[in-house]
Amino acid sequence: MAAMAPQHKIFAILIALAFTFNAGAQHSFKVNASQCRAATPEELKWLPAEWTPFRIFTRACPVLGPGRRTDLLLISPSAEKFYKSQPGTQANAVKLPAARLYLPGGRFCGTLPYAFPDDPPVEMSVRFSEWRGGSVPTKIDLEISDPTASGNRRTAMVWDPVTRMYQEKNK
Amino acid sequence: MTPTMAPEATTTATAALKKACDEAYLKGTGSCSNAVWEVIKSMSNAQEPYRVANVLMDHMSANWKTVELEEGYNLANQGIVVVGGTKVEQGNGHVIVIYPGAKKLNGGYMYFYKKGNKDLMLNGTKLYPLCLSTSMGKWPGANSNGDKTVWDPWGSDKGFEGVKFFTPKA
Repeated sequence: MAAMAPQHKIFAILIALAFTFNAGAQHSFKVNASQCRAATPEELKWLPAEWTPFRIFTRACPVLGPGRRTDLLLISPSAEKFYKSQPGTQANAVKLPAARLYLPGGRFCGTLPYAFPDDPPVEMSVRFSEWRGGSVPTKIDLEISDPTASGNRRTAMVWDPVTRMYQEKNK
Repeated sequence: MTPTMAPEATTTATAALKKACDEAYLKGTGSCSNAVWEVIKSMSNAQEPYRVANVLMDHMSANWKTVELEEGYNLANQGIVVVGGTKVEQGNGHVIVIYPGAKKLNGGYMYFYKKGNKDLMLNGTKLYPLCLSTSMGKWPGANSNGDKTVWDPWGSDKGFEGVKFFTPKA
């Protein structure tokens, strides 16, 4: 096979980089609660003390990046599992801990406004996007369905590269 | 500063505010802004034009006096109209009137959680002033003729954080 001229090599690398960046820019991942699993003992250790009553109902949802690898973990108590575990047809509404985001190594990087996928009476859908060639998505779109006077709404969180945390947009 | 009234005038004004709230609730339009409009026309300005909740919130922010909840509670118990609410961008806001009377515990009603197939009881956490609130939605806390509190239409501390209260300028 003929050797590639240096300028052609550089051009090929730039094309590959642009392709990767573009793939990251276009990729988005909507978290599907059916793809979440029980949190591992290691993952449970990352959580604050107030999660203790909800440990056995805690789910970890992998957030897959453009390379199909787990770039983030969304960890949340499952309201459905918690309330189904309560006896009878009635239960007291409890304040569930809000879902938290972690890098795969266990570094905490943000809190969503509610438990995922629901925090009765609120339901929340979560979509990650705009990887921009990095290892984490830089935008989170939240669609909140809320029967109270607060109403249905959409909001977003963005990655702050300085603090390496997700912050509510416009805050 | 909260204006002061003679006790007998307060009693009459409070009864009038209660009556205006009751009548607005009984009209049963289900529209929060219509119910609030009825009370404003009865108690403050008969010529008040109708405004939907988001527009009313903007109007009150610009033209009415902002009051803290405690001051609003005291004013309502002197028969003075105090309107609270939230504006929802790209959505429908919600407005209520502080209903005269003693504070009560928030919550105390159930809502159905379909996925868990359970009725969930929202237990009270704190005393709040009562409210007149009507709504076309299904949230039980959003319909109140003085039987629920100003917190209940929003149903959570997080939701109630954004509620602002106003009274017409004297």
